[in-house]
Amino acid sequence: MAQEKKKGGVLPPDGGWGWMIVAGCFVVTVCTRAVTRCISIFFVEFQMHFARDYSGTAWIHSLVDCTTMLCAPLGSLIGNRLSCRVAVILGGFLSSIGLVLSSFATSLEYLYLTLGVLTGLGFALCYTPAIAMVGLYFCERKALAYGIAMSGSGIGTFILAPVVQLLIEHYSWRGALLILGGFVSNLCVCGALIRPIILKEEEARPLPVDSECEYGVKPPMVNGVPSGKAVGDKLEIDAKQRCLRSMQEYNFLLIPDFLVLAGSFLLLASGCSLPFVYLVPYALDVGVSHQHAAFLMSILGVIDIIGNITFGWLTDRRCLKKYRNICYMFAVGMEGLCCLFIPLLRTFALLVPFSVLYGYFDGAYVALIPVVTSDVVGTTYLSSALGVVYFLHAVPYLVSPPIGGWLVDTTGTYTATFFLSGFALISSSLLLFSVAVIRRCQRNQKNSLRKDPKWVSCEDKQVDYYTSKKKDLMIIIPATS
Amino acid sequence: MASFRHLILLLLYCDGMKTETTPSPQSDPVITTRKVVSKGQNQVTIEELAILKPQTIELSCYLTDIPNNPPYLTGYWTKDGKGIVNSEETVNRTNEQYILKKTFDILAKDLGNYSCIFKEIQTQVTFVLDVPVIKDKRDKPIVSYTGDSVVLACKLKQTPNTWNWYKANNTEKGLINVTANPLNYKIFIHGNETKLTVLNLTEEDSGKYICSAEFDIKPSESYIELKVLSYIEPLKPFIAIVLEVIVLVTLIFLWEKCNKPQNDNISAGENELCSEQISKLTRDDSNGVENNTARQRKLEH
Repeated sequence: MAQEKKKGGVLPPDGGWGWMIVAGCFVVTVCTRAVTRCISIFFVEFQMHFARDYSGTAWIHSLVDCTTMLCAPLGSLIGNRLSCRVAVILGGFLSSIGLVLSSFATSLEYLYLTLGVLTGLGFALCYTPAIAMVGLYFCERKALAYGIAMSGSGIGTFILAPVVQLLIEHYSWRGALLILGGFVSNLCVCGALIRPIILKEEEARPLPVDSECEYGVKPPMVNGVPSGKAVGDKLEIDAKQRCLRSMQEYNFLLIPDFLVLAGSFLLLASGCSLPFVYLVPYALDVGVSHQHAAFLMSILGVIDIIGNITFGWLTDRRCLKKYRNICYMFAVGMEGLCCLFIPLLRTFALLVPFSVLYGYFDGAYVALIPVVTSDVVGTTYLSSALGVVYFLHAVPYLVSPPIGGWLVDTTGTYTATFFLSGFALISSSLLLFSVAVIRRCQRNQKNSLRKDPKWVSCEDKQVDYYTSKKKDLMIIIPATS
Repeated sequence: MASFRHLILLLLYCDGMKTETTPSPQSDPVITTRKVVSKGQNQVTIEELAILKPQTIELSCYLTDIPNNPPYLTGYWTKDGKGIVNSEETVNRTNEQYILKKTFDILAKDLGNYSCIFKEIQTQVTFVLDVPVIKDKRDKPIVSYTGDSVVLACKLKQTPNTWNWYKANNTEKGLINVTANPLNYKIFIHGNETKLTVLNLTEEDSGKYICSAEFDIKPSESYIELKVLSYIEPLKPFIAIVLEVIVLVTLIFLWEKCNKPQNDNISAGENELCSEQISKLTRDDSNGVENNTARQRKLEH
């Protein structure tokens, strides 16, 4: 069959220019997440120059992280209204200006503003639209594409950390911030790479990715025509791709599956940042040497990258694709389990397997967050949904390390902190699992009553489209009747 | 009775006399002792001792776990590798241990490495006597920019009497006087750490700065190198990267623009080719296109 290239509707290419998008998203992740982590290298210099202590400078890192996550919905809003390209270019511009301005800083408060707020805002504008675009360009190999894109934070940290150290040695922190600002302006190049794509109408609607009918998102159907988008009867997708009104943009918030997912993300974010912050102090506490403790963190970082890519590739395999949600739950649950075992690991030799396992599953779930989200809400709402998802990450990220620190101070050991982290992660996984079980029971009950749409693979969607010519059948058709 | 009382008074007086008149080399009567235990033979042990003021110190080497447990060993002392005359002693075994002690009066010139050496079993214990060493030395110079200010810091574990800062010009040391130059220098001293702030930097401020911790016995010094750059230095890589970004963005946009009309032409060409091949499907497809556009128009109301 000849491929129909409708003016304004293609299938997810799953390759071709999609790989350029993945490369662009990779660079975006490097410039945002890795640069955020490398900012802590500047703290010693700031402490010396401005004669402040550690907590004064640590605020900068928290501000950048917090602003990036809190303004994520703003990023997706601009991506929806204007275009993802404009959002990323604007974000790149803002963040590089923020870094350049902070190289002229005269006080720490000035840095809070330029580095914390301005750069954080710029990062927020880039992050969500870039990730959302990857989801649009891929269907079959979505998890692998996301794995490669998200591995940017690990690889970026690995490479940028020594480079930033070198820059500080040669040019002092002012020069290093200036050059870092130049480096971050590469975000504009990534923005230019993001070519808008207009998907076919089926793609625009949330598909029932009932992998094994665990997570079904059935579009509300009225007389065989989905009413979700029927407000104003604007079923036409124009060049702006998603010219939805703001009410419709956030329709997905009412999907019960998304609410459950949001709850589990809140729990996840509460638990996942603690081990990163407290692993090295714990290791030093039990008698591991400084170099070994730093080595643990390096292992964590490298295995994180491996987990990103391999888990993404794994969950794209046909046999596992239906069970993607289970894989996600498994990764998160295993992370929590690892954390619970920490108090028993008191030597370097025992902490290394912990680093390996924790790093792998951390990379695994990070690659799967956008995939799981897009499975629940579909590609139309992916950008806005990702904005909300990362927004939900913001507050627990900010709040849980100080709570962990308070627990360490009051109990005198790190056990309580790691238990908190482990239980938060396990409960996040259990929440999803229990809802999945409930749905399965519900479905089994209703199975005899009506026929459910089965999981539609990416090729099946093609077939459906080509065979359907009737206008009201521009909806989901059971793959096999 | 009286004589008894007199005797006691005399004894006390003599006792008092004794402590006053006995010439002692140290200003306070306390002799510091340092001991190091060495186990086995063929051992070389090094112990660092921080000396803050002139004092008398007794260094002791305790040897244990010597195979064959000989009844006695001979040991001698060296200073900085050179044997100390008349320091050779025979050490008898006491409770499986061999103890060699020697008392030294340490002044500024006496600082160095003192070793007790046992020839028969090739064991050596070295005491490194020196003023406290300022540890965190940076190999790389501190970089700053003209017009900016920079903070140089020195820190020690022990608290010296005072700190002094010098600027080294080739071989000379010039003391930095804050009162003479209040606009350019600020010195902050707080116990065991000190900070020198140099304001209004110029290129001439580059060079070696020496922080000196003054102790009774000898000052302990450490140097920091300062390099002052002009703003143009980091600006060069920055402008290079920004230019690269602009070039890439322009290229990408141009490429997309060039490819766009190509893509439209290709798709049109494909349709023509397909229709030439007398494919019913293509005719259906083109019909489908029209149908779709018609439907869109219809739905627009």
